[in-house]
Amino acid sequence: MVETHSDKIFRLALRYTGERAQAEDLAQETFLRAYKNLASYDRSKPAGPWLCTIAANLSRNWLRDNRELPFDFTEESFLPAESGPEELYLQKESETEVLQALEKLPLIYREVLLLWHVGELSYGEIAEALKLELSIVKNRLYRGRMMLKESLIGARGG
Amino acid sequence: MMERCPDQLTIQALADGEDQDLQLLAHVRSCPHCSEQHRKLSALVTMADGLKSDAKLPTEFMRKLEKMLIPAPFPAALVAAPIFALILFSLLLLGPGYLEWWFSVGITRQVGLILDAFLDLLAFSRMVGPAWMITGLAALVAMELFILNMIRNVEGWHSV
Repeated sequence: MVETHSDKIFRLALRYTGERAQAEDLAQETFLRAYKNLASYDRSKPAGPWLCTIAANLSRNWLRDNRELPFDFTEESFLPAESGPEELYLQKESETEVLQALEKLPLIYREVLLLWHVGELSYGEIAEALKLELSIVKNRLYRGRMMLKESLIGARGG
Repeated sequence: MMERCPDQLTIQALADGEDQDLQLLAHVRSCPHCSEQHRKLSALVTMADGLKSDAKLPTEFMRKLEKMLIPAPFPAALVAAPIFALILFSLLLLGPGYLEWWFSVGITRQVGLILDAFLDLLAFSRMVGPAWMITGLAALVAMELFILNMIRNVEGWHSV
């Protein structure tokens, strides 16, 4: 379970926090919590959404306690390891822009976007993880994407 | 055929692959308005996919996590040594010459049970902490003392 999901959980935490070291700690804490609460895990369901829910809750708590900290967009950890210098530059540009735009979104939209695009959860799984109605998840995903787009256009001066 | 155009959220579900209704898909393909909406929403999905990351955890993460999740097995020798010391001590405590009598009658069924329990406890100790181990050890010693006393009372000490 850990080997299969660890990178995804780490990426989710990384997008929430913007800090590699913190994301590592949160990933570790996620698996420790999961281990302690194995009894409450429904084995008929996939583990990914369950772990993402734990990671999202922990990340949200971390954000609540550390929201004054600025997001580190220059973090090298955002970049894939096996990219060439040019590719790296382009990826860094676009990724940094998207992350900056994400940071401007209210948490309720950011969470749904992260759980869908990074956590790869379905609408239903997001609804379960965030204890929301399915229609609210769809709405927040739509509005979140629109806001992200507007924020990106604004940042590019469009 | 669908009579009315679906709303944005329904087309979004189609773009996300959440809704795979063939009738809906056919409508979106044939309706210029919905087709345009679908194209715009798909572009939004692609843009937001920029949130994805290829970041990987360091290789030592698994090792560190394993260390935290799996407690180090309690060293068997450290458990075995005090058990045998306590057994020896209790044998000697029961009276001089008792140890010789013990070996002369051979291992009884009760002693076999104790040994089984001891081996089970050693296997179990890989999963539990030292506190449980010591509790089990104390129970074994108590059982052993009880059986030794019982044997002595039945056989009679002077028959040794």
